[in-house]
Amino acid sequence: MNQRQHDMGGMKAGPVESDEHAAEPWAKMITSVAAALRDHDIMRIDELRRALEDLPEDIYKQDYFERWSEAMVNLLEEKGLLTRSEVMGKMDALKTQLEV
Amino acid sequence: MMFSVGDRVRIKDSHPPGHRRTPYYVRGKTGVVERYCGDFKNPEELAYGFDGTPKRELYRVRITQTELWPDYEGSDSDTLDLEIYDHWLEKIGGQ
Amino acid sequence: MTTDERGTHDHGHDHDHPGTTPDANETGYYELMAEAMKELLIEKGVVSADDVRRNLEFLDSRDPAEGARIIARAWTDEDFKKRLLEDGTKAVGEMGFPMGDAVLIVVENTDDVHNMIVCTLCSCYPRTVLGLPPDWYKSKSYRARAVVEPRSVLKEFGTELPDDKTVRVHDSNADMRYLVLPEQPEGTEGWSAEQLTAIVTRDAMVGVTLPQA
Repeated sequence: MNQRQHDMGGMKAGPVESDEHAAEPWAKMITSVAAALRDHDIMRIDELRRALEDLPEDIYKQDYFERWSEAMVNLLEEKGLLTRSEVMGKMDALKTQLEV
Repeated sequence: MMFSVGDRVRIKDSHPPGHRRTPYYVRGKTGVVERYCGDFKNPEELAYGFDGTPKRELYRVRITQTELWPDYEGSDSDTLDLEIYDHWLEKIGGQ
Repeated sequence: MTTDERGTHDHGHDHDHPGTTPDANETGYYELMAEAMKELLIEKGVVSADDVRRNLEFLDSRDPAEGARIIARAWTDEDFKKRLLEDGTKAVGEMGFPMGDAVLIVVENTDDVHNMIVCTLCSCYPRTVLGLPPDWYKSKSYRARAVVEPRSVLKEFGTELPDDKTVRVHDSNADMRYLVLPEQPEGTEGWSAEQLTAIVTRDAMVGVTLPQA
Protein backbone atom coordinates (compact mmCIF):
# COMPACT_ATOMS: atom_id res chain seq x y z
CA MET A 1 0.00 0.00 0.00
CA ASN A 2 1.32 3.41 -0.92
CA GLN A 3 1.64 6.48 1.28
CA ARG A 4 -1.81 8.07 1.54
CA GLN A 5 -2.54 11.72 0.80
CA HIS A 6 -2.97 12.90 4.41
CA ASP A 7 0.13 11.06 5.66
CA MET A 8 2.57 13.71 4.51
CA GLY A 9 5.78 13.12 6.46
CA GLY A 10 8.72 12.99 4.04
CA MET A 11 6.77 13.93 0.91
CA LYS A 12 8.35 16.37 -1.52
CA ALA A 13 7.05 19.90 -1.05
CA GLY A 14 8.11 23.50 -1.58
CA PRO A 15 9.13 26.19 0.90
CA VAL A 16 6.86 26.99 3.83
CA GLU A 17 4.81 30.09 3.14
CA SER A 18 4.54 32.19 6.22
CA ASP A 19 1.64 34.34 4.94
CA GLU A 20 -1.35 33.80 7.12
CA HIS A 21 -4.82 35.10 7.62
CA ALA A 22 -7.05 35.08 10.66
CA ALA A 23 -9.56 32.24 10.75
CA GLU A 24 -12.74 33.28 8.97
CA PRO A 25 -15.91 33.36 11.06
CA TRP A 26 -17.41 30.38 9.22
CA ALA A 27 -14.24 28.34 9.83
CA LYS A 28 -14.61 28.98 13.55
CA MET A 29 -18.30 28.20 13.33
CA ILE A 30 -17.74 24.79 11.75
CA THR A 31 -15.00 24.06 14.27
CA SER A 32 -17.53 24.84 17.00
CA VAL A 33 -20.18 22.60 15.41
CA ALA A 34 -17.61 19.79 15.28
CA ALA A 35 -16.74 20.41 18.93
CA ALA A 36 -20.44 20.34 19.92
CA LEU A 37 -20.84 17.02 18.09
CA ARG A 38 -17.82 15.73 19.98
CA ASP A 39 -19.24 16.91 23.30
CA HIS A 40 -22.29 14.72 22.67
CA ASP A 41 -20.12 11.82 21.45
CA ILE A 42 -21.94 11.98 18.12
CA MET A 43 -18.83 12.49 16.05
CA ARG A 44 -15.40 11.57 17.27
CA ILE A 45 -12.28 13.32 16.09
CA ASP A 46 -10.97 9.95 14.88
CA GLU A 47 -14.05 9.52 12.70
CA LEU A 48 -13.64 13.00 11.26
CA ARG A 49 -9.99 12.28 10.49
CA ARG A 50 -10.97 9.06 8.77
CA ALA A 51 -13.63 10.88 6.72
CA LEU A 52 -11.05 13.53 5.76
CA GLU A 53 -8.48 10.94 4.72
CA ASP A 54 -11.04 9.17 2.56
CA LEU A 55 -11.99 12.27 0.56
CA PRO A 56 -11.20 12.08 -3.14
CA GLU A 57 -7.88 13.68 -3.99
CA ASP A 58 -9.36 16.74 -5.74
CA ILE A 59 -11.40 17.59 -2.65
CA TYR A 60 -8.54 16.87 -0.26
CA LYS A 61 -6.46 19.52 -2.01
CA GLN A 62 -8.91 22.22 -1.02
CA ASP A 63 -8.63 24.55 1.91
CA TYR A 64 -8.54 22.94 5.36
CA PHE A 65 -12.03 23.96 6.46
CA GLU A 66 -13.50 23.32 3.03
CA ARG A 67 -12.44 19.71 3.33
CA TRP A 68 -13.79 19.65 6.87
CA SER A 69 -17.20 20.66 5.49
CA GLU A 70 -17.15 17.90 2.89
CA ALA A 71 -15.95 15.28 5.35
CA MET A 72 -18.54 16.24 7.95
CA VAL A 73 -21.38 16.02 5.46
CA ASN A 74 -20.19 12.55 4.42
CA LEU A 75 -19.84 11.40 8.01
CA LEU A 76 -23.17 12.79 9.21
CA GLU A 77 -24.84 11.15 6.23
CA GLU A 78 -23.14 7.84 7.09
CA LYS A 79 -24.51 8.20 10.61
CA GLY A 80 -28.01 8.84 9.29
CA LEU A 81 -28.22 12.28 10.88
CA LEU A 82 -28.71 14.19 7.65
CA THR A 83 -28.38 13.65 3.92
CA ARG A 84 -26.29 15.51 1.41
CA SER A 85 -29.40 16.42 -0.53
CA GLU A 86 -30.90 17.97 2.62
CA VAL A 87 -27.73 20.04 2.95
CA MET A 88 -27.96 21.10 -0.70
CA GLY A 89 -31.61 21.97 -0.27
CA LYS A 90 -30.84 24.03 2.81
CA MET A 91 -28.05 25.79 0.91
CA ASP A 92 -30.52 26.79 -1.80
CA ALA A 93 -32.95 28.03 0.81
CA LEU A 94 -30.26 30.07 2.59
CA LYS A 95 -29.12 31.50 -0.71
CA THR A 96 -32.64 32.57 -1.55
CA GLN A 97 -32.96 34.24 1.86
CA LEU A 98 -29.72 36.12 1.25
CA GLU A 99 -30.87 37.31 -2.15
CA VAL A 100 -34.19 38.63 -0.91
CA MET B 1 3.45 -2.64 30.60
CA MET B 2 4.79 -4.27 27.49
CA PHE B 3 7.78 -1.97 27.02
CA SER B 4 10.10 -0.02 29.30
CA VAL B 5 11.90 3.25 28.80
CA GLY B 6 15.12 2.55 26.93
CA ASP B 7 13.86 -0.59 25.16
CA ARG B 8 14.91 -0.84 21.54
CA VAL B 9 11.83 -1.32 19.43
CA ARG B 10 10.90 -1.73 15.81
CA ILE B 11 7.78 -0.14 14.40
CA LYS B 12 5.95 -2.73 12.33
CA ASP B 13 6.42 -2.51 8.60
CA SER B 14 2.78 -3.18 7.97
CA HIS B 15 0.38 -1.40 5.62
CA PRO B 16 -3.18 -2.34 6.51
CA PRO B 17 -5.86 -0.22 4.83
CA GLY B 18 -7.95 2.18 6.87
CA HIS B 19 -7.35 4.85 9.48
CA ARG B 20 -3.93 4.39 11.11
CA ARG B 21 -2.01 6.66 13.44
CA THR B 22 1.40 5.25 12.59
CA PRO B 23 2.83 7.46 9.85
CA TYR B 24 4.14 5.80 6.72
CA TYR B 25 7.63 7.26 7.09
CA VAL B 26 8.37 5.46 10.39
CA ARG B 27 7.10 2.00 9.48
CA GLY B 28 9.86 -0.59 9.68
CA LYS B 29 12.17 1.82 11.53
CA THR B 30 13.83 1.20 14.87
CA GLY B 31 14.08 3.49 17.85
CA VAL B 32 14.12 3.64 21.63
CA VAL B 33 11.17 3.96 24.00
CA GLU B 34 11.36 7.51 25.39
CA ARG B 35 8.35 7.31 27.69
CA TYR B 36 5.09 5.55 28.37
CA CYS B 37 2.19 7.96 27.81
CA GLY B 38 -0.70 5.98 29.30
CA ASP B 39 -3.45 3.73 28.02
CA PHE B 40 -5.75 5.15 25.35
CA LYS B 41 -8.72 3.93 23.38
CA ASN B 42 -7.60 2.57 20.05
CA PRO B 43 -8.14 5.33 17.45
CA GLU B 44 -8.10 2.75 14.66
CA GLU B 45 -11.35 1.40 16.11
CA LEU B 46 -12.82 4.71 17.25
CA ALA B 47 -12.51 5.98 13.68
CA TYR B 48 -15.15 3.48 12.55
CA GLY B 49 -17.61 3.92 15.38
CA PHE B 50 -16.41 1.06 17.60
CA ASP B 51 -15.74 1.65 21.29
CA GLY B 52 -11.95 1.56 21.06
CA THR B 53 -11.47 -1.18 23.65
CA PRO B 54 -9.30 -2.84 24.71
CA LYS B 55 -7.27 0.27 25.36
CA ARG B 56 -3.79 0.31 23.94
CA GLU B 57 -0.58 1.30 25.65
CA LEU B 58 0.87 4.39 24.02
CA TYR B 59 4.62 4.98 23.94
CA ARG B 60 6.81 7.77 22.66
CA VAL B 61 9.55 6.37 20.49
CA ARG B 62 12.73 8.30 19.69
CA ILE B 63 14.27 7.58 16.32
CA THR B 64 17.48 9.10 15.02
CA GLN B 65 17.04 11.11 11.83
CA THR B 66 19.84 9.14 10.21
CA GLU B 67 17.82 5.95 10.80
CA LEU B 68 14.82 7.51 9.06
CA TRP B 69 16.61 9.21 6.19
CA PRO B 70 19.97 7.78 5.08
CA ASP B 71 20.99 11.07 3.43
CA TYR B 72 19.83 13.26 6.33
CA GLU B 73 21.52 16.64 6.40
CA GLY B 74 22.10 17.66 9.98
CA SER B 75 23.60 16.43 13.20
CA ASP B 76 23.82 12.68 13.83
CA SER B 77 22.23 13.39 17.18
CA ASP B 78 19.05 14.89 15.66
CA THR B 79 15.92 12.89 16.46
CA LEU B 80 12.30 12.43 15.63
CA ASP B 81 10.00 11.56 18.53
CA LEU B 82 6.48 10.28 18.02
CA GLU B 83 3.71 8.28 19.63
CA ILE B 84 3.15 4.64 18.75
CA TYR B 85 0.48 2.30 20.13
CA ASP B 86 1.67 -1.05 21.50
CA HIS B 87 0.24 -3.16 18.68
CA TRP B 88 2.55 -1.41 16.23
CA LEU B 89 5.71 -2.15 18.25
CA GLU B 90 8.07 -5.12 18.42
CA LYS B 91 10.86 -5.38 20.94
CA ILE B 92 14.31 -6.02 19.53
CA GLY B 93 17.63 -6.85 21.17
CA GLY B 94 16.69 -10.26 22.53
CA GLN B 95 15.99 -9.36 26.15
CA MET C 1 -27.61 25.74 -11.81
CA THR C 2 -28.91 24.97 -8.37
CA THR C 3 -26.64 23.85 -5.60
CA ASP C 4 -28.41 20.51 -5.65
CA GLU C 5 -27.31 19.85 -9.20
CA ARG C 6 -23.82 20.93 -8.42
CA GLY C 7 -23.64 18.60 -5.47
CA THR C 8 -24.84 15.48 -7.18
CA HIS C 9 -23.53 15.77 -10.72
CA ASP C 10 -20.16 14.89 -11.97
CA HIS C 11 -18.13 17.46 -13.93
CA GLY C 12 -15.87 15.83 -16.43
CA HIS C 13 -14.60 13.23 -14.00
CA ASP C 14 -14.70 9.72 -15.37
CA HIS C 15 -16.08 8.34 -12.15
CA ASP C 16 -18.78 9.59 -9.91
CA HIS C 17 -18.01 10.48 -6.30
CA PRO C 18 -21.32 10.34 -4.55
CA GLY C 19 -21.25 12.73 -1.69
CA THR C 20 -18.74 15.18 -3.07
CA THR C 21 -19.10 18.52 -4.78
CA PRO C 22 -16.47 18.98 -7.46
CA ASP C 23 -17.50 22.45 -8.56
CA ALA C 24 -16.94 24.62 -5.57
CA ASN C 25 -15.41 27.66 -7.16
CA GLU C 26 -18.21 29.94 -6.24
CA THR C 27 -17.28 32.34 -3.43
CA GLY C 28 -19.04 31.48 -0.24
CA TYR C 29 -19.98 27.98 -1.33
CA TYR C 30 -18.44 26.26 1.67
CA GLU C 31 -19.53 28.97 4.03
CA LEU C 32 -23.06 28.22 2.87
CA MET C 33 -22.52 24.48 3.23
CA ALA C 34 -21.27 24.87 6.79
CA GLU C 35 -24.18 27.14 7.69
CA ALA C 36 -26.67 24.70 6.13
CA MET C 37 -25.18 21.81 8.06
CA LYS C 38 -25.31 23.73 11.33
CA GLU C 39 -28.93 24.77 10.81
CA LEU C 40 -30.00 21.24 9.94
CA LEU C 41 -28.29 19.80 13.00
CA ILE C 42 -30.02 22.36 15.19
CA GLU C 43 -33.43 21.86 13.54
CA LYS C 44 -33.12 18.12 14.04
CA GLY C 45 -32.12 18.59 17.65
CA VAL C 46 -28.75 16.86 17.22
CA VAL C 47 -26.99 19.82 18.80
CA SER C 48 -28.40 23.04 20.18
CA ALA C 49 -27.54 26.56 19.13
CA ASP C 50 -26.29 27.00 22.67
CA ASP C 51 -23.87 24.05 22.33
CA VAL C 52 -22.38 25.67 19.26
CA ARG C 53 -22.25 29.12 20.82
CA ARG C 54 -20.46 27.87 23.95
CA ASN C 55 -17.83 26.16 21.85
CA LEU C 56 -17.39 29.28 19.73
CA GLU C 57 -16.90 31.39 22.83
CA PHE C 58 -14.28 28.99 24.11
CA LEU C 59 -12.50 29.04 20.76
CA ASP C 60 -12.55 32.85 20.69
CA SER C 61 -11.07 32.96 24.18
CA ARG C 62 -7.97 30.95 23.16
CA ASP C 63 -4.89 32.56 21.69
CA PRO C 64 -1.11 32.42 21.94
CA ALA C 65 -1.07 34.96 24.77
CA GLU C 66 -2.41 32.11 26.94
CA GLY C 67 0.59 29.94 26.15
CA ALA C 68 2.90 32.91 26.68
CA ARG C 69 1.63 33.27 30.25
CA ILE C 70 2.58 29.65 30.90
CA ILE C 71 6.09 30.15 29.51
CA ALA C 72 6.65 33.40 31.39
CA ARG C 73 5.61 31.73 34.61
CA ALA C 74 7.99 28.83 33.97
CA TRP C 75 10.81 31.34 33.44
CA THR C 76 10.09 33.11 36.69
CA ASP C 77 9.03 30.22 38.93
CA GLU C 78 11.46 27.32 39.11
CA ASP C 79 9.05 25.04 40.99
CA PHE C 80 6.32 25.63 38.42
CA LYS C 81 8.76 24.91 35.62
CA LYS C 82 9.65 21.61 37.25
CA ARG C 83 5.97 20.66 37.54
CA LEU C 84 5.33 21.81 33.97
CA LEU C 85 8.03 19.56 32.57
CA GLU C 86 6.97 16.62 34.75
CA ASP C 87 3.26 16.79 33.97
CA GLY C 88 2.23 19.54 31.56
CA THR C 89 -1.49 18.78 31.73
CA LYS C 90 -1.58 19.05 35.51
CA ALA C 91 0.62 22.14 35.67
CA VAL C 92 -1.41 24.14 33.13
CA GLY C 93 -4.53 22.89 34.91
CA GLU C 94 -3.30 24.82 37.99
CA MET C 95 -3.42 27.95 35.83
CA GLY C 96 -6.97 27.16 34.75
CA PHE C 97 -6.34 25.63 31.32
CA PRO C 98 -8.66 22.68 30.70
CA MET C 99 -6.87 20.21 28.43
CA GLY C 100 -9.95 17.97 28.14
CA ASP C 101 -9.01 14.57 26.73
CA ALA C 102 -5.65 15.79 25.49
CA VAL C 103 -2.41 15.31 27.37
CA LEU C 104 0.08 18.17 27.25
CA ILE C 105 3.79 17.48 27.06
CA VAL C 106 6.07 20.47 27.49
CA VAL C 107 9.51 20.09 25.92
CA GLU C 108 12.35 22.32 27.05
CA ASN C 109 14.87 24.01 24.79
CA THR C 110 18.36 24.09 26.30
CA ASP C 111 21.88 25.02 25.24
CA ASP C 112 22.13 21.57 23.64
CA VAL C 113 18.64 20.82 22.38
CA HIS C 114 16.09 22.58 20.20
CA ASN C 115 12.54 21.21 19.98
CA MET C 116 10.08 21.67 17.13
CA ILE C 117 6.48 20.47 16.80
CA VAL C 118 4.60 19.18 13.75
CA CYS C 119 1.64 16.92 13.04
CA THR C 120 2.29 15.01 9.83
CA LEU C 121 -1.05 13.14 9.78
CA CYS C 122 -3.50 15.98 10.33
CA SER C 123 -2.85 19.24 12.16
CA CYS C 124 -2.96 18.40 15.86
CA TYR C 125 -2.10 21.50 17.82
CA PRO C 126 -2.37 22.54 21.49
CA ARG C 127 -5.44 24.70 20.86
CA THR C 128 -6.30 25.15 24.52
CA VAL C 129 -3.09 27.06 25.09
CA LEU C 130 -2.36 28.50 21.60
CA GLY C 131 -5.72 28.87 19.85
CA LEU C 132 -6.21 27.74 16.25
CA PRO C 133 -3.09 26.78 14.30
CA PRO C 134 -1.66 29.17 11.70
CA ASP C 135 -2.01 28.34 8.00
CA TRP C 136 1.61 27.27 7.63
CA TYR C 137 1.25 24.68 10.40
CA LYS C 138 -1.52 23.01 8.37
CA SER C 139 0.32 23.29 5.05
CA LYS C 140 1.73 20.36 3.15
CA SER C 141 5.12 22.10 2.99
CA TYR C 142 5.47 22.20 6.75
CA ARG C 143 3.91 18.81 7.50
CA ALA C 144 5.91 17.02 4.82
CA ARG C 145 9.29 18.65 5.41
CA ALA C 146 9.54 19.34 9.15
CA VAL C 147 10.31 15.68 9.83
CA VAL C 148 12.89 15.20 7.08
CA GLU C 149 14.69 18.52 6.77
CA PRO C 150 13.92 20.42 9.99
CA ARG C 151 17.00 22.60 9.75
CA SER C 152 16.02 23.86 6.29
CA VAL C 153 12.50 24.55 7.48
CA LEU C 154 13.86 26.41 10.51
CA LYS C 155 16.00 28.56 8.20
CA GLU C 156 12.87 29.51 6.27
CA PHE C 157 11.58 30.91 9.56
CA GLY C 158 14.88 32.76 10.01
CA THR C 159 16.13 30.36 12.67
CA GLU C 160 19.72 29.21 12.26
CA LEU C 161 20.99 26.75 14.83
CA PRO C 162 24.58 25.66 15.46
CA ASP C 163 25.41 22.30 13.84
CA ASP C 164 26.18 20.74 17.20
CA LYS C 165 22.80 21.58 18.70
CA THR C 166 20.47 18.57 18.66
CA VAL C 167 17.20 19.17 16.85
CA ARG C 168 14.34 17.11 18.21
CA VAL C 169 11.27 17.07 16.04
CA HIS C 170 8.09 15.90 17.75
CA ASP C 171 5.42 14.45 15.48
CA SER C 172 2.17 15.07 17.32
CA ASN C 173 0.58 12.02 15.72
CA ALA C 174 -1.66 10.60 18.45
CA ASP C 175 -3.04 11.58 21.87
CA MET C 176 -0.34 13.97 23.14
CA ARG C 177 -0.16 17.70 22.45
CA TYR C 178 3.11 19.61 22.67
CA LEU C 179 4.29 23.01 23.76
CA VAL C 180 7.91 24.16 23.48
CA LEU C 181 9.42 25.89 26.50
CA PRO C 182 11.93 28.20 24.78
CA GLU C 183 15.14 29.37 26.41
CA GLN C 184 14.76 32.69 28.16
CA PRO C 185 16.62 35.27 26.04
CA GLU C 186 19.74 36.83 27.48
CA GLY C 187 19.23 40.28 28.89
CA THR C 188 15.77 39.55 30.27
CA GLU C 189 16.90 38.43 33.72
CA GLY C 190 14.84 40.13 36.37
CA TRP C 191 11.99 40.99 34.02
CA SER C 192 8.49 40.60 35.38
CA ALA C 193 6.22 37.80 34.16
CA GLU C 194 4.13 40.45 32.35
CA GLN C 195 7.18 41.80 30.49
CA LEU C 196 8.26 38.28 29.59
CA THR C 197 4.80 37.30 28.36
CA ALA C 198 5.06 40.02 25.72
CA ILE C 199 8.14 38.50 24.08
CA VAL C 200 6.92 34.89 23.92
CA THR C 201 5.51 34.32 20.45
CA ARG C 202 3.33 31.57 19.11
CA ASP C 203 6.05 30.48 16.68
CA ALA C 204 8.57 30.19 19.52
CA MET C 205 6.17 27.89 21.37
CA VAL C 206 5.86 25.68 18.27
CA GLY C 207 9.66 25.73 18.06
CA VAL C 208 10.21 27.36 14.68
CA THR C 209 11.65 30.60 16.06
CA LEU C 210 13.48 31.80 19.17
CA PRO C 211 12.09 34.53 21.40
CA GLN C 212 13.90 37.86 21.10
CA ALA C 213 14.43 40.33 23.93
